Amino acid sequence: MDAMLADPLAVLVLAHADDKLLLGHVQSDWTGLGPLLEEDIAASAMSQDDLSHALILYEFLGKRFDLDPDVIAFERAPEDYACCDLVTFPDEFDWATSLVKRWLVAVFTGLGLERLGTLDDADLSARCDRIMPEQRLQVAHLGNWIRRLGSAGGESTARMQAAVDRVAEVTGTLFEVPGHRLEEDETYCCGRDDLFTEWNGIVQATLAEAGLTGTFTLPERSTVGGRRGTHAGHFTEQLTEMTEVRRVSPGASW
Amino acid sequence: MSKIRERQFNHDGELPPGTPDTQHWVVYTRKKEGNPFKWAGSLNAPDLELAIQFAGEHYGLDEACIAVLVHHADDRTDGPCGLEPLEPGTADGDDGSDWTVLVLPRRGGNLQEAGTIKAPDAETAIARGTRAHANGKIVQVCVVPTDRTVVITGDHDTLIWRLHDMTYKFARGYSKDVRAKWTRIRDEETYEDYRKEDIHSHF
Repeated sequence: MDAMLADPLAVLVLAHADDKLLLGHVQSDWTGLGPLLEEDIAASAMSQDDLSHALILYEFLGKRFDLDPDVIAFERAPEDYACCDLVTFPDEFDWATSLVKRWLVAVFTGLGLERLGTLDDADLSARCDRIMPEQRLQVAHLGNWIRRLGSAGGESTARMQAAVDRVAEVTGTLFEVPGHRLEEDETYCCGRDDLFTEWNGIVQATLAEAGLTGTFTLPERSTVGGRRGTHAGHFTEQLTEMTEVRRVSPGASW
Repeated sequence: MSKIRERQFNHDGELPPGTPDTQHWVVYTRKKEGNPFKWAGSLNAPDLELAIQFAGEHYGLDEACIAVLVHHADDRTDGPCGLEPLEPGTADGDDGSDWTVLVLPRRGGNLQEAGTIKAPDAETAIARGTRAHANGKIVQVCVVPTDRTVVITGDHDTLIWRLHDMTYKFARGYSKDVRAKWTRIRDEETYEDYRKEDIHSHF
């Protein structure tokens, strides 16, 4: 585990895998509560997709560092999770907030996995390629809802704008440099500015189509947040719940 | 436990009254190139755009297929369904617009695409569809105006076989496979008791 957490590429993969795991876990709360039956099914399926994507990435790390993917997923110390605070940000059961949050993360993850897929690692590249079709579907699906509800006018637009404003405050956490055990290295995540610019371009174009506005800022490189293991309280709450069964019976098999 | 799990939120007075603003859409899937579209299921959606989106995601991702066809349930006209296979009849002609013909191979089976014919109206389309496709093996002909159907293809990764394990969907009844699955986590005796009880109470 220590070797994995000290490896820059592994930590980058871990950041995406942890985002997926925690987002899939948090979003599954909506199962049975979606605004439309079909959307309920779609949102639940996307949560399952996220968990499946996390597993694919944990398996990559497990192979490389001889670790059980379940151990990586459930048995790390809270500070060793590299997810950002946006994924566990409470949506307070507000559908607009849930949509905006998931959409912003989905666009980021899509761009991040595209970049990881171009690295000189055939296994990682194949895994990213397999995830990407489902990731693109998530971006398209959520983007359609942003446009639809944002441009509907009246209460719908007002709720969507309020959701964007609320989520914007923590959106920068997506772009924090991950890995609290890594040596400071300016070349690590040096493409962060480009990634933010591309992400912001996609997000702003969709927001404009939806008649919404949002201002997002790139955090300083030195920012220490969830990606470096200093998580918000809501992360700890979700992690405690998510790992409950695992802690009751460590190593249990089905 | 998180606030969400405990359902601590109160939205009383915020929710609008339920409105029947969704419509019914029918979905067919094509498994392989050259195969006909076969009935897959239906869904509810407020409009065509969302119907297409849901059809692609629910049916295009949850089973291996190369194309999905969707139409509004009201756009389909069903011909009579008899106990005996249909006779072809004598309807003739090729005037009018295109209709997609769907046939039911047997009562209790699923509709599948048989082809297209031209006709000025639904009644004629059913008669001409019956003439074209009743071969002593089908029991019903249904038609949909072809321009009221939408086909989603696998281009641009819109249709893919989902990554996550969905083998639970294949669990039906008490087959050998299902037994093997359950007896991995229950002993044989417990499983056998459960099976008998379940069959007794449901069948």
